[in-house]
Amino acid sequence: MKNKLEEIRKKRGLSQEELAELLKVSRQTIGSIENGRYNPSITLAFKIARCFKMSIEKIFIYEEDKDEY
Amino acid sequence: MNIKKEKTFFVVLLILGAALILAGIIIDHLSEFDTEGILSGLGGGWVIISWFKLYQIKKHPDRYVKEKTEASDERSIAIRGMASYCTFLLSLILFAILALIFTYLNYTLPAVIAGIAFFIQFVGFIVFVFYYRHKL
Repeated sequence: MKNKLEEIRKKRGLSQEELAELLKVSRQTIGSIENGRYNPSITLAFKIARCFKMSIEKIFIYEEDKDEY
Repeated sequence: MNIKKEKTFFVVLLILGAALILAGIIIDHLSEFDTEGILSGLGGGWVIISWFKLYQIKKHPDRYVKEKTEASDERSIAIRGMASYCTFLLSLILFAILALIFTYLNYTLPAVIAGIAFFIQFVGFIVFVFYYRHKL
């Protein structure tokens, strides 16, 4: 899933390590989410949104798979 | 993550390990029963692990917390889940192949054992699928 996590994180002046510490996850998890290799759980997505005081939709971009239908 | 709880757990494990070592020595030397060093060995393992963990917690608490967080974060759990599933499939295939090979070579007992192992894993998988299907 595409997301703007890296862009938002850098705007707030946070490193991956710092964000990981705030969310109580590993730095590798943040890295994997940012490059789209791993989709966070709904709980983690909410925590990320709350951390940045934004809605989930502003951070994570859901695009329907055209091949699904 | 509660570091105090972790400390308590490993202190308890250390004491239990020491008690097991003592119990093993007493049973081996003072009774006719021979544990063949199993109790002492188990206790020794617990003592070494808990000593090492308590040392880590004392000397590098931040690193310890970081390692525990990394081990228990959702991505690590997802990775372990996927790896477990792949390993399960691999062992299922392996037991099936072994059962066939042993049957071909006329080794009856190993073939039966491999076949039973395959059957138990397969049935266990079906049972867990039904269980989690109802639970979730």
